[in-house]
Amino acid sequence: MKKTLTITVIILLAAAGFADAASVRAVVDRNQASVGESIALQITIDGGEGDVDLSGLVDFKTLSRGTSSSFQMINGRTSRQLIHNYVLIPLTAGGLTIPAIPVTIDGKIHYTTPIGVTISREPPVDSGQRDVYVTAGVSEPAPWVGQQLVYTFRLFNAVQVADAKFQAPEFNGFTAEELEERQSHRTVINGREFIVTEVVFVLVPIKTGTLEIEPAVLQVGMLQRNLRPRPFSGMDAFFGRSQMTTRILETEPITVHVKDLPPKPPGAPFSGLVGRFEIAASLDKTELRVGDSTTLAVTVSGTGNIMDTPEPAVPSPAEFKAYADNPEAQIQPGPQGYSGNKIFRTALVPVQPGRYHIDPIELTYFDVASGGYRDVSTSAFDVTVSPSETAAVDIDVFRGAPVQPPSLKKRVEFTGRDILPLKEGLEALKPQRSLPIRWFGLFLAIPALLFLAVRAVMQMVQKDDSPGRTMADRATHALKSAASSDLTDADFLSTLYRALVSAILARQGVMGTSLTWSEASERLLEIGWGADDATATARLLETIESFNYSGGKLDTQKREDLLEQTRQAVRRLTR
Amino acid sequence: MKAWLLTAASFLLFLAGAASVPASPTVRTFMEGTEAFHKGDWPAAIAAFENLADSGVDNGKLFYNLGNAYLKNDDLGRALMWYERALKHIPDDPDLRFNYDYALTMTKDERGEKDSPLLRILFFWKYQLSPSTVRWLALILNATLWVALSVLVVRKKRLLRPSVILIAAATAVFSATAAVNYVEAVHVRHAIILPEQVPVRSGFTDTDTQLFVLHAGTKVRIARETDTHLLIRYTEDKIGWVKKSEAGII
Repeated sequence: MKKTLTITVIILLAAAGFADAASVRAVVDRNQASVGESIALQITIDGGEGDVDLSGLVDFKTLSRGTSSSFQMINGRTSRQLIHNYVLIPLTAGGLTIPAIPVTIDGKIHYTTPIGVTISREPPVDSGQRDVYVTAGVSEPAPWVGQQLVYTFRLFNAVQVADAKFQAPEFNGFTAEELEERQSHRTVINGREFIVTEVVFVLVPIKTGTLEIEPAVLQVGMLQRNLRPRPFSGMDAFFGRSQMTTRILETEPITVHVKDLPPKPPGAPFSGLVGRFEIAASLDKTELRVGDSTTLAVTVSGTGNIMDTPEPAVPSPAEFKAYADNPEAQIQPGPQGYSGNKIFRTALVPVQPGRYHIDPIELTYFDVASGGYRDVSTSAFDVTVSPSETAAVDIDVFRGAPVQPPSLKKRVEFTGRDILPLKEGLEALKPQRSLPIRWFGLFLAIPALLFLAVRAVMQMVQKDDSPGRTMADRATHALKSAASSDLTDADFLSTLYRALVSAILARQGVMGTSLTWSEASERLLEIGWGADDATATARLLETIESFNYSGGKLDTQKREDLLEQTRQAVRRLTR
Repeated sequence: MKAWLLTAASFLLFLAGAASVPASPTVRTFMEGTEAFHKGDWPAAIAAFENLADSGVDNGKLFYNLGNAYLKNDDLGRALMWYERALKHIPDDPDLRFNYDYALTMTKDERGEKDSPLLRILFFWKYQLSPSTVRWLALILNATLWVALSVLVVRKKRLLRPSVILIAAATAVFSATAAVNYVEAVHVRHAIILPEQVPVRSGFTDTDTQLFVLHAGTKVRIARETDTHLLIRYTEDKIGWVKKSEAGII
């Protein structure tokens, strides 16, 4: 009986162990779709976390849609479920297989069950049977280098779309500018109404040869009504609500053959303009006096790289001073490319009277319509200049606006590009370590330390010559002299007097030679002495003075006594 | 005459000795690299120069040569990475500046993070002077300051005081800038995108969402680093993960 129970427990524990083992499974929301249509894939990991390897899905473009996790408790046991969500976009039509997807859990690889899906081809673009599709095209498949062309991307949608993300091509070999306004209109294709949204780029090829414009990619979300219940739709399936599906739409690549410009025939220099242009000129006055100014306005207008129009050479007579103004440009990118005009104004000031002729201004550009160079020119002008009323010999012209005279200097441009040569010296092999921060800190500290050392030395060496110090030294010196036994009584008393007065004045930090006993008392009180001490010291000063002036003889005891009292007072004051 | 003969003999012996000294392996590798470069064998030049860099030769001119070799080999990303490394050592070298600017014209992406124009005006010396120049200016000004203070203490000349205050202010500014440069060198790291095109993703795996695409030579700031990936910041609002092999840390 006991043995049977033990075996039962072991079997139950083993079963529990197996119940804990992780398992993976993959499900899709549908197994029939068309190329570009999305299929939702869920990979569910029960009882653990794992790394999903989707590298085997070569027939699909995969997009991660995040993960979610949930906990379940059944019969008192908890288990965790981790769900990885992906969107698969089929790349080809036919019977495709989502292969067994490896999922690594705790170092062990688990595989999902392969899933077969049938991918059908989409109906032709112009059949009107597609719900959403995109196209792209260029206005000129064989342009000249420098000729502008228009690239138009169009989105056709017969159903509602949302969350559109547009990825434009790289346009390698072109300069590209997108028109700011994206146009939308409605059109009917095969009896079905579509909304057409256009994204337009103006392209200018900058190199010759066969260039390929990569496909433009658009990712859109499509609102579709659920016709059948799907495993991930939840209650939406029950109520038949709409569901958002993601689609990746790509245009076909476009090949453009860019032709080089033919050699320029002799004549006027090529302006660098490619397109279709006209030139016109106007002169605001043809009859003027010496010193008056007239403005010649040259307008270049047309379609093409008009922004590159160089400043025209104004053939003004030698008797005219010419002052060029900054050019004024009005250029807009539009559905036909860049178009507009550029106006060059030049102020002409005659310095001699007479009749003058201003020759036409010529412009040579490359005409893309005819495929050749075309010369256009302005009309000529005749100008009559009469003498100035002021009859000035030399005309100085003053203008309000800061106009610079035309410069003959040209901006130097690179005629070729390359890098500068190698550094071949062997110094290229020496280590170049930058100064470590600790050394930097040390070098900053060294001068400060030296300064402190200098200051300390100076303090030790330098004599303090403040009044207080001087008087204190004088008091000490006088006291030492008074201690000498070979002094006469008068000298002894004078020295004591000097020592005591100097000590009092030293304490106050002032210079001086004499004090009355009352002054001495006041000053000692000022420096914080007690009244008794101050009075006693002042009395000592009075005693010394009275002995000195009375001329009495001092015995040895009295000398010793006065010297000791003075010494104690001086020590206290100079401490 | 005898002395002249002795001198000439010594000189000849010196020359003979110098001629017979064999070049060190480092020098030989360097010469092989320059020779390969002149022959147009860019991979060989790269191998030779990189061998020297790997062996510990930390020199801006060598890094400049590596940048040149990679640029000639049409590897814009690595060329700019080595030019950036060279700029840390020889920021004022005119050849390096010229080639670096030329390489920058070939990049496809706009420059990412830019310093605020206001900061560039307010702290112009930080941006106009190289870290090395700032460092030496700080040291020289600091030495001048303490010498001036010593003179002030010894000579007690009050006239010197305004000058000392000015020098002290300049010393404080340049020392602080040098300290900031040191901190930046340690904590603010950049990398260069190496392959022609790199997808920047929201996570580590190839199935994570591609956030944006960067091209060779684009300079990015490293925000975080793992064993396999770098979290890079292209601009304030464009951050994502790239594989370490796809970005060269400067």
